[in-house]
Amino acid sequence: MSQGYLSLVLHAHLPFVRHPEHERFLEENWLFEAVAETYIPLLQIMEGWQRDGMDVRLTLTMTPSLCAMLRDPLLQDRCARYLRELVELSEKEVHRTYWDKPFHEIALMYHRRFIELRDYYQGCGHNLITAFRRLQDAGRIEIITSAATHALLPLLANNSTSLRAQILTGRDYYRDCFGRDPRGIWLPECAYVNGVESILQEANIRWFIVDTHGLLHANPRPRYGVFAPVFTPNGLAAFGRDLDSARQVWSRHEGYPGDFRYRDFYRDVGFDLDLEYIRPYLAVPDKRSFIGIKYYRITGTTPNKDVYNRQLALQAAAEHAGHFLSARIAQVNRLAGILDRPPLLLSPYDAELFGHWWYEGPEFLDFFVRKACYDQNTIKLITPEQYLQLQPTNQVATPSASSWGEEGYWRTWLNENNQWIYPHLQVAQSRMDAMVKRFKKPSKLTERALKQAARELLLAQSSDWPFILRTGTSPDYAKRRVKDHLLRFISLYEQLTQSKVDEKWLREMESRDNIFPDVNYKYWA
Amino acid sequence: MVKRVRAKIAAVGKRLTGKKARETTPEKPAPKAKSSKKSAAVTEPIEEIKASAPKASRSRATKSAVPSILLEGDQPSASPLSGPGQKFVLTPDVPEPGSATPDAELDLPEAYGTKKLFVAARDPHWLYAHWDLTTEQLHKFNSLSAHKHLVLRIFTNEVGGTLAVEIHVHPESRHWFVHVDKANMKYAAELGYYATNRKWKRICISGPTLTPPDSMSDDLNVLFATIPIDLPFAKLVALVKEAVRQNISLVAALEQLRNNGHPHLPAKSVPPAQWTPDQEKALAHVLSMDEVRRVWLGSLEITELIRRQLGRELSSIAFSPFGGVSSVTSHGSPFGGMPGEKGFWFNVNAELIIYGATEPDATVTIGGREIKLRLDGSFSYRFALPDGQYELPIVAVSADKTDARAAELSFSRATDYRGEVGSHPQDPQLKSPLVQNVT
Repeated sequence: MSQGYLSLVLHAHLPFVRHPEHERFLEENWLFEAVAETYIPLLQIMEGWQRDGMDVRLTLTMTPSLCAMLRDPLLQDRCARYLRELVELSEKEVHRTYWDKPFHEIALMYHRRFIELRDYYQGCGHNLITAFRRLQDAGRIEIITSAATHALLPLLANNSTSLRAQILTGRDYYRDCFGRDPRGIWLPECAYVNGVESILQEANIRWFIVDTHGLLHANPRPRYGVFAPVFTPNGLAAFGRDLDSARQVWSRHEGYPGDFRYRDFYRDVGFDLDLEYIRPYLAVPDKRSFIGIKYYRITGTTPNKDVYNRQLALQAAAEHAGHFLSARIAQVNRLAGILDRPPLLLSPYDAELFGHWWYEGPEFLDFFVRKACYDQNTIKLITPEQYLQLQPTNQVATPSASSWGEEGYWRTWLNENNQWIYPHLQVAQSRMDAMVKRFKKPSKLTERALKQAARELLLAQSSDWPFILRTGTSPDYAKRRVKDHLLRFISLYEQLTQSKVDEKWLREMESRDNIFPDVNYKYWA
Repeated sequence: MVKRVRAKIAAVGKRLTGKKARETTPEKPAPKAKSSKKSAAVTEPIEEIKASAPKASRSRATKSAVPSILLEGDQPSASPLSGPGQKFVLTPDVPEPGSATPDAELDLPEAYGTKKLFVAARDPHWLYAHWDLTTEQLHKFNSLSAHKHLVLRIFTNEVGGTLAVEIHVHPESRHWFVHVDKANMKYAAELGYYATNRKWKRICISGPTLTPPDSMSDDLNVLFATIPIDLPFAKLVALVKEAVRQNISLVAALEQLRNNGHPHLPAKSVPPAQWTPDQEKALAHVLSMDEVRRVWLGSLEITELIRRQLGRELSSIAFSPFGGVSSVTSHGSPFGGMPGEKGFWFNVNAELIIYGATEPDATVTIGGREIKLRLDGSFSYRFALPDGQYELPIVAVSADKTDARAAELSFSRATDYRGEVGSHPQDPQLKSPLVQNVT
């Protein structure tokens, strides 16, 4: 009999990036890298659990924008090309490093691995959604949804139609991808504000997650802290993030991913090797960027890195998995002695942490889950949905406005670097409301334009753009994306309200910004 | 198929290629491979290459004779970054401050002229306000203003209620970040100006916004509810249709129906046990929530931000030891954001130094606490000076106790922030000028 529960929630999300107007585009690599280093490895690990008959359940967010990209034929073809090129380059690396044994072993590892990835991707018809769906249909994972384009919902709170459109569009697309309704939702950035739950109720979504202080600062004060969910007054369950399990994995200084034995993310052949040699494999010719073959381990704070040793790294992953499990067992034992019900530890992480940012992350997860399944009985791995089946009686409280971003609220998305976005969004949102009210019985062309206006507005609302402007990783690209979508929206608005719709231009925009083909613009009514 | 290749040994960044190396272009002394013909379809792992590959060429033994100074700049610099990756990183390049595309290249409208005022709480103590006025509108209102600029007023609860903050904004600003005292408070804003006759003229008002709480609730009442997770909300709402019309929450309505024995609502599965003060105390100990831990445990991006700032040795953002993240991610740029200025910052702080001198054998007390004099009879104390009122009486008594002198020092600090102002770092050992901190 378990003393407590652990819910692992992996949040897989990428902003919608698709540039058919370019043969290659740097930022599309976000998707290809995540497919190669996170999504396929996670699928393989979870299929391994299924194959071995393990009674393990894990929750996975797949945001609508990510799903849209994974299903897009153009991006699928480019992803397949990316994997083929990795196979080709790794073969060259095997030759190049022949006389350098430590490097040669790593090159062989990559070569084998990339062939495996390429074959897996081919085997599922380039459509990873079908693979994830199969696992859910077999009862192995629970996939939850998110807002359509990952907008920060508290900053839409004054525009209820846009808030509604983000959530219901996300719900609709989930239905299209997975053939059922979502039971849970990942609020983008765990950002919650009172009022969101009434729309979640309309979508028949039953639970969501808030950051630790979102639950601890709930009103009335939650008796069980973050170790049990609360019901909001309108019946949704709010789960709170557990801090201890977060720190051990998230913190790059204190947490596991910073261990010196793990692969260093930054020493990549895209920067280390001869430009002529790696040029064909760069995301964009003549601009060095990460390729995905890295030969060094973190080593320490020194710039002189040691060669990566895969066995040592896997050993580290196993040690950390054991440590993580021991810590969770100790945590549950301590809590079980205090609470009058089995405590729940809710541990959400960005999925891309496992494999992409932390190369050995999938192995860590695999070791941990297997140890949890076979080596102990204190903790059971369950999903939040299963918890609500086991414990349908919970305290009633309203969570506090909160997020898991910088300082716990909305600073990351609303500061001097990015505040300029919001005045434009405010006006665009009002205009969308006005257009929908005005065109109650639109012609076919008008309806197409309204749908495209909805797409452009949703894409402009993505929280990824202000996030990137804050962190400064690709600020020019983020700025351009916001500008492009807002300008396209403005053009559509002017065409619809002041002149006439340019059908040729509209067709071009429909083919470029083609997210959510069946978007329901009437959500802005 | 195994191909015969002339492989050049190349440890990345460590050795040069041998004498058969191709001509290098200036930027690449890094190891390179002489490319063989592309294989059209090598699909199998090349394990067997070991058996038949040529032996190492003489080039392997050749050491580089090129002085390293001639290679400076040829090789990409080793990235200053190290460790696991981060979100959205495609290159290790750290953008220089101000390297983003200047705003002048954006051709979104500078404003739409709706004259609407938008206010949103950003966190427990900061609001964001934006007003949509075109340049012409700004000029017009500024010219009517006695101060030649507009004024933003923040009220608690509603416009016209208690005035919390009044800010004189820059003439060309269209937004402001406003510091407010109270968390968990409703605020609303009004934009206007004082006319030449000193009368207030309103331009627009905002809707309300609520700052999030920054502490646990004082409400310890506990209500439990049982909700059948398999019943869709539509059905639950239909069950309680009458109750919902009476404007009570769904959960409360369900409990009423359950208590009345509604057949579709099962009884509570486990009645919650009594919760004792010992349990409450034990759990509170587990949950001790200090700011530092919470900020630490934001996503990787937060710690990466700090590390990159260190790596660039920027002085523009104050750094405090890792436990003081809140002062590093300070309040962003200040003064409400003057148009066209990106990345501007301002930090400020205050310290108090009390110093003096007397006869070396005198006895000196501060706030009644005896202090140690230096050999020459001098003394000095440094304190941090946060907002507040402070009084420190200082008394010096002669060694034979026949004479004494005293001074009652009173200090106050009340900081009025305009725009985003950070806290400049100071010695973490410093404490407030209170008697108990005199050592």
